[in-house]
Amino acid sequence: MSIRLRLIFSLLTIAIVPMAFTSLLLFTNLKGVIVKNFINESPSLVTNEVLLSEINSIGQLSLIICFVSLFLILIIAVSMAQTISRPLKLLEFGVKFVGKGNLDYKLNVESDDEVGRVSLAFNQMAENLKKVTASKNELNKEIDRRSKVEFLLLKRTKELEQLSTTLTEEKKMREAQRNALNNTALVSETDLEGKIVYVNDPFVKISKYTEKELLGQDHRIINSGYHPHSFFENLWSTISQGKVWKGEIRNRAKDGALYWVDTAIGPILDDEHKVMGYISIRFIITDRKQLEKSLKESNQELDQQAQRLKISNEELEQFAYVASHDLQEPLRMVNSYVKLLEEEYKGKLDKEADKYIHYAIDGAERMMLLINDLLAFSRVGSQRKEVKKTDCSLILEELFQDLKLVIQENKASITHDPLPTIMSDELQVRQLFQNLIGNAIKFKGDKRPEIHVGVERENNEWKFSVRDNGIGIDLKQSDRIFVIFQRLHSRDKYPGTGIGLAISKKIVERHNGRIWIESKLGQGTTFFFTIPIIKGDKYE
Amino acid sequence: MNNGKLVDILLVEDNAGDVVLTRKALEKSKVLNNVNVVEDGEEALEYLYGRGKYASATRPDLVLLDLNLPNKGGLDVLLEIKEVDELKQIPVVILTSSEAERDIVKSYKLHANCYIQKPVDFKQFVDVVKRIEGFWFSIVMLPPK
Repeated sequence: MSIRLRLIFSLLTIAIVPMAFTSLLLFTNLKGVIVKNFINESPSLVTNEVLLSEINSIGQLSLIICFVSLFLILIIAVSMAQTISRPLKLLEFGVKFVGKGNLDYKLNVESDDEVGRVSLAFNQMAENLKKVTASKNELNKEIDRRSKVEFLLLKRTKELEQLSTTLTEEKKMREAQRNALNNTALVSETDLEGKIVYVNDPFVKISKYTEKELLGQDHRIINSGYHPHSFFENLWSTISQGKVWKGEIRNRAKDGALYWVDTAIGPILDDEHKVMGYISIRFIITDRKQLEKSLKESNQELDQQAQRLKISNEELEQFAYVASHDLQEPLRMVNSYVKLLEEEYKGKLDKEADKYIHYAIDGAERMMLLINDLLAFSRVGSQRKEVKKTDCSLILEELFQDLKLVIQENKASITHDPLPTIMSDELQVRQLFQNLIGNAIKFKGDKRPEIHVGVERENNEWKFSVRDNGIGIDLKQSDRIFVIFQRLHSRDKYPGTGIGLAISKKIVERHNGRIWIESKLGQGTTFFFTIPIIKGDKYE
Repeated sequence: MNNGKLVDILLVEDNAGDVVLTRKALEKSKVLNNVNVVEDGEEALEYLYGRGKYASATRPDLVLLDLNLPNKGGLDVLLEIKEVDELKQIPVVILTSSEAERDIVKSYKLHANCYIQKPVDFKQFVDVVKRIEGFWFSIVMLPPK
């Protein structure tokens, strides 16, 4: 129930008291009239009608009074309630308004009563509240500022932490590096005069001196005397100029053991970049040096061997030439005299003698062939190579002329690609083609020989091929065919000494080429050989 | 041309085997010949000059000269023959087993009349000797002695 209602209600209560009193008064008045009438008992004095009208008029009057006073009291009550509730209402509004945060709002203090005092107190409170709010704002701002600072601080701290981590890692790395260096390298430091002021463990260990023995000494203590004086002069002149000297030094340990070190010596600079001493880092390379030495030795050995081989090859060739040449003379005698024997005594002795003579002649003739071939073979190597422009097509045409009879006899058909002009020993290349084409005809199968001489240019060399449709070669034998006097067939079937391909191989190799075959038994063989292209070659 | 006259041949050869073979070959030839053999260079020149034990020797119509000889080599003999006016017209056939190019060149430079390598085969040898004789005594005109 609002204050206003309570007020109106209380005022109305107050108003009822006089009304009740008035009513009582009127009622009492009315009662007196009645009593007086009864007491006088004079029927003449007051009739019933008069009494009734009297009562009615009193009743009406009191009703009017009652309503008027009720109305007046209501007006008064309402206006009084108004005077009390208006400031309260204002107070309520103000409080709500201030409560919403409008601390600058001031309540209108109209009265000096409780409401006025409450308003005043409220204004005071709002004022205080405003002050407090103002300082709260300040505080918030301060808090903001501080949190920003805190954030920055945190960030910086993190950065610092990171930096510190990095620094720690770097330190760790440096330590690891130093450890690694100490594990692998000999480190020493000297002063300007070269007196040792620091040595690490590996240095001490390999030198077999104690650290105490080394400190204060110069590096001559481990000098092996291997290097000339100028070697160290050069070292000193380099490092005293502030440069780093690098080189390999052979040192001597206390017990006389020698060890090689790959050495770098450089200056240690102070803050003003002045040389204050020298640091040397050495790696033990004794094993490598030994390896180098043995490598060098074995290289030398190889060179010597190659040289010896070359000499012995030359000697062998010379020997083959001389031997076959000198063998020719007595062989000529043997051959001549068995022939003479046969000529003059055949049929004059017995049959056995004739047979023996025949064997002797056969042997002598074969030996003559072998010696001739051996001579031809050794000539390929011993004769000076005369390199000149060689038109291979022309060579083939000439060869076909030379081999005309053989070609006709065997009904061979020989074709060839357009062949290049190469730089070579013409005579030898002619012999090479002659050997290969001769072979192709000789080892023909049942078919009519078809031979093709081809050429391809591959990188820096000509790849020639001589292809036939002959009996073919078992590839298992392909290594043997190029060896001197190696034959795959009996002499009766295919005559020859087995020199042709050996000579061919030698010719190709003398021209820095390679020779090989591709073949299928019964289907033919292709001989390939390469000749490097040198300036002057041209393809036609 | 030889008109059935006996021809004198000087064979300068130290190898007895070759001497026999050459004689054998010459025997088979149609030309009548007289073969005299000396075994070294010194003797060859003695013979040609008609000195010492060869004082009665007739100057040969042809010299068959080997190059590999003891004492004085074949080329030295050749050099002297071709330098001496009274000997230089005698044809000298080099008959040797050497096939060395330098021997061939040297021989011709010293005016050898021809250079022949002894064939290894006996039949060929006989043939070659016959041909030498046939050429020099049947085809070629030689100056009078």
